[in-house]
Formats: sequence, C-alpha cells, structure tokens
Amino acid sequence: MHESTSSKKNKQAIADRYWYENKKILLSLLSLWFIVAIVCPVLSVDYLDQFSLGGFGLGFWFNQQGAILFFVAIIFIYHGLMQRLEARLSVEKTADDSQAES
Amino acid sequence: MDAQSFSYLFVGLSFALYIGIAFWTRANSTKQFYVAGGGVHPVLNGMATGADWMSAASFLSVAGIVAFSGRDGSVYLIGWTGGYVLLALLLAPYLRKFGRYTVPDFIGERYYSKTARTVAVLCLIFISFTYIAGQMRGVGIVFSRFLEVDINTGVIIGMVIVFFYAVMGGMKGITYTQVAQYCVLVFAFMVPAVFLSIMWTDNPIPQLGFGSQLNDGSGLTVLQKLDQVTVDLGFHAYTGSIRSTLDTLMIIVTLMIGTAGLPHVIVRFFTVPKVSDARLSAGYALLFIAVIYTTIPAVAGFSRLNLIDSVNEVAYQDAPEWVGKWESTGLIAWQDKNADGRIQYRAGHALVPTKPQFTDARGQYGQRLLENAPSDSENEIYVDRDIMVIANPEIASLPNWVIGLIAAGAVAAALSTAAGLLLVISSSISHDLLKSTFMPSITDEQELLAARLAAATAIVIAGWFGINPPAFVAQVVAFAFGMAAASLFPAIVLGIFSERINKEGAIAGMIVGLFFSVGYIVYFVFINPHQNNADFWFWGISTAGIGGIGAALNMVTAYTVSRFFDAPPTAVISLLKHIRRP
Repeated sequence: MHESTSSKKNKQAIADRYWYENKKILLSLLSLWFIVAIVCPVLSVDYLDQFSLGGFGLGFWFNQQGAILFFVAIIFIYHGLMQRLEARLSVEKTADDSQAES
Repeated sequence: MDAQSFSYLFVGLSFALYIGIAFWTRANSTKQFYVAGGGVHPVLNGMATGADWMSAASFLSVAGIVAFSGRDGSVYLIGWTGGYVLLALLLAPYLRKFGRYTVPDFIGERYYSKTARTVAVLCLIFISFTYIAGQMRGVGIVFSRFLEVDINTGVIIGMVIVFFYAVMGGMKGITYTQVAQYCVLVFAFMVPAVFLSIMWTDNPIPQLGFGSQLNDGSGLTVLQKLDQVTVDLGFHAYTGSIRSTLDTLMIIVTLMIGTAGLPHVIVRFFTVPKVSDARLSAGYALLFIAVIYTTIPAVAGFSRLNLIDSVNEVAYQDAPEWVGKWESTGLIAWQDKNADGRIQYRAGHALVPTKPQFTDARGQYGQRLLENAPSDSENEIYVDRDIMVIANPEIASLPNWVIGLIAAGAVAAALSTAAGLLLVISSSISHDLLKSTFMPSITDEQELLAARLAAATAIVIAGWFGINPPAFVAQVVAFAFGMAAASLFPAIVLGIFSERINKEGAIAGMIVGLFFSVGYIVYFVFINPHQNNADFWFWGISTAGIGGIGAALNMVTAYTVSRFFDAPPTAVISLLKHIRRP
C-alpha cells in the first residue's frame, strides 16, 4: 500500500520533471528558430549582407538557403534532445523502482 | 520520341504505379482508412508528408515567383518550411500521443464540447476546399500544357485516379502513393536544376552553383550578375527588397503558423507508431521538402539569367524556338512598341491589361498580335511566371525525356496534395460529424462506408470546382493559410500548453480569429479591391500577412474569455497530463 503510493508519487514527479525539461528545450529551440527565421533574414538582413558566405551575402543566404537548413537541424536536434531526456528519466525511473523494491 | 510522347509515357507509367498501389493497400478498418493503421515508418511518413505538402503551386509556381521578385520571394521559402519547426515542437508529438484520428477529434475532446468540434470541422472543410479547388485546376492545367488535352478532361482524369486510391485505400493508399509521388517529383525537379547549374557554373549541385562564379570568364558570381542585369534593366536589385519589413515579417509568420495548422499536414503525424517517431518524422519531412525548397531559389536565379540572356535585345526572328512555342500557348507575348523588331525586356508590365489577349493575326515578324494596349513602360514582353519551371528543359536544351519527367512530377505534386485534402474532409465528416456528433451508434463498417462515400462526394465537389473554378481561387491562396493560422493552430497549441483554457474561451477565440482574418481578406479582395494596397492596409499588412494578427487575436480572446468561465473538468486535466507524459 505504502509502496504503491510512493511509486505513484515518483511517477508523477518524473512526469512533471519531463514536462519542465521539455519546456526548457522548447524555449531555447524556439528562440533559435526565431533568430534564423525572423532576425537573420528579415530584421538584420542589411547588416548581415556586409559579410559573405561563398558567393552569397550572408543576409540573402539566410533568406534563400540558411533558414531552411537551420529549420531541418532544429527538428533533428529536438528529436535527439528528447530521446536523451527520455532515456535519462527512464534510467532514473528504473533506479527508483529497484530502490522501492529492495 | 518527341516530348509529348515522353509525357504520355511517364504520366501513364506513374498512374499505373498509383493504381497498383491502390489495389495493394486496400483499407479494411476505419483505423486503416483514417491513419493507415498507425504503423507507417517515420522516413516513409516524412516522404509522404513532403508530397502531401508540395502542391502544384510549389512545383510550378514558387520558382517563378522567386525568379521575378528575388529576395522578396523568400517569404514563401521561409514561411512554408519554418512552419514544420512549430509542427514538430508544438503539435505533432502531443497529437500523436493523444492517439485519435482527426484534428477536430482533439479539439472536441480537449474542449469537451460538440460545439467546439463542429466549429473545428467547419474551419477544416472551409480551409481544405479552398485549397483543393486550386489543386484540381492545377491537374487540369498540367494536362492541357503537357498532353494537349482539354483542361476539363484533365480534371476528370485526375478525379478518377484520386478516386481509385483515396476511396479504396484511404490514408493507407494515400500514404504509399504519396511516397511514390515524392520520388517522382523530387527526381523531376532536380534533373533540370542540375543541368542548369552545370550550364552556368560547371557545379553540378544547384545549391552550391547558385553561390559560385559564372563560367563565362567574367569573374562575377551568379548573384552579382543577377543584381547587375536586373538593375540595368530597371528592376530592383535581385538581392534587394521593395516590401516593407513589417509586411514581410507578418507574411512569414502567417505562412508558418498556417502551415503548422493545415489539417492535412497535421493528420500525417497520426500515422506513425510512436510519439518519438512523430518528431523524427517531422524532421525527415522537412529534410525531404528542403531538398526541393533549397533548389527552388537556384532554379529561380538561373532561369532569370536564362530569360534575360536569351530574349533581351534579341531580334524576334532569332529568338530561341521555345519563345515561339510558349507564345502559341499564351504564356509569352510580345508587343514591338518601338518597332525595331527586337525584344526589349524591362521592368514594369508590358501590356494593359497585364494578361495578353491575342487576336488571330500575325505581325510582320510572325509574332502573335495582341488586343492589349501598350503600357507606359518600355517592357515589350509578357512572361507567365509558371514558365520558369516548365520551359527550363527547353531553355537549357535538355533531352525530351526531361520534359516528360516534369509533366509526371507536376501531376504527382497536384494529385498527392488533392488526395491528402480529400482524406481530411472525408474523415471529418464520417468520424467527427457522424460517429462523434450525430450518429454515435453506427458500427465500424458503417463508419468506413460513410468515410468512402464522403471521400467520393468530396472528389466530385472538388472536380466541379476544378472545372468551374470560382473566380477567387487564384487570388485567395491567402485564405487557406490565414484561416488555418487564425483558427486551428491557436486552438490546438493553447489546448496542449494551457490547462486553464476552457471550451468557452477556445470557441470564442476560433470564431474571433476566423472572422477577423476572413473579414479582412474579403474586404480587400472582393468589397474594395481598388483599396488593396499599402496605403489602406492596417499597419501596412497585406492580406497574405493578416492571419498572424488573427492568430494573436484568437489567443488573446481565448485567454480573456476563459477567465470568466469555469476551469476545464478533471477528465480534461488528466487527458492533458496523459499527452504531456513521454
């Protein structure tokens, strides 16, 4: 009886932790998204065009290639970070479970 | 073999493939019909999403838009791809965890209300039909250009093919045909792009070629040359912009959240086995889309150079063969304003009105004569922007089979999008309206039959729109995105991330967002079209960018109204806890 409530509590704690970490990841990746989607190609395009990348002005490059490449990277990074988070929490969970059993 | 025979061959082969897949993937249950049984591999789902998403417009028109507007065309490139980040981070994993069949399903359950579900169904049907009318028309146009059949016959052939695999196979049939369609369209788009890139820069990778030096010994890069020639001819510099920053920003925001709110795209992420697959699959989808979307600006740049190079200041009689060919189909028109027998390509519209109206007569050089009055500008040539992709193989003197390939690719792009849209329409009717709202007692078999009938009816209506296109279709692509951005996206995101939003708030938000955006577009496009310019727009935001404001209004309304009513019941809170768990 006592054990099952404590493991239930644990489960809830892990779920809360997961949601909190997820929001942290979301916030940082969405900031990056905002920078590559809005700041670089629109707001600071003229400034960035002073620099060049191959034959592109950097601002123009963000407009026609860079933003898209960063978007792809952001999604794969998100996938990777969430996989790691899930692996870490399930490790903690099994550690907790075995403690509760012993 | 000539280009037309190749077109018939490739389009015919691709159709045989799609029908074959339709027989192989018959759906036997509603789960298979709505979400392909929920067992689609994330990479395959990514490909299917790519084809689902890339419409006839993506395939044929975006490169043309970018070619003629340079940096200002980037809003479409950024807006239509950036939406996938929102989709992958804010929607797809949670909706997959929720584990049902449709978008209104989520809204109905989360907001514990049949009214909310019905409002969502209405938004979805409105968005999807606006979009699909253009697709069916696109199928007809592709047929008429490449296979020289009547546009209406083309629409009907398209309807029959979609009917086969959408009605028989449902989402299962659509998914696997879309995978095949992605392969067809990516190949068809890349082959001419590679040739063009080699032609101008010797670099076989278009994305890199676009940033390299020209191979003509001038020492200029592609973009320097583009800036130089566009400015010389009186256009704004290719890498410069003439749109206001705020408007650019709002269009990008609207296209991004509109993309993330499009029901036929969202529902693709219901088909993968696990939550983590939904994230991964969104990544693959965008990767597959990025292959084409990073090639588009390169194709645009090279074809603008090609166009200027091969027509400007060239005597009409010496112009390349494709000029005459596309003139005969009405996509190119020339009016010799200064009577020197040469084509002058300059900034500004060549003709009044801007679309050419041909007479039957021919001029002294053999050009088609026009009823249009000449405009004030020195520009003598009208070029339809769609020509940039269609005419590429001829401009670059590529073999005839490449033209056949482009025909098959364009048809694949239009059909795959149309099928995806048809499916969300049919499932919202059979599942959300019948099973969940009005006739909850029907069995799974009856629901499946209803879904098939709804899909068949939707195809007929879509075909009717394709044959009798409402005059507004071309002008209001903004509609579908504005509506998706202002109605569905905020309701779903708030539903996932806020525990406090209740049904009253969500319904009020969707209605306010929808009416604001639709009202703004209707006012400027239909009621007062002569005021449709930056002087009259609210804060200088065009109709294409207003959906972002609509979405913001939706969220503010939803929050405010929710404060005045009870918090959602505990069942909804535990549903939220469930979808937020790994």
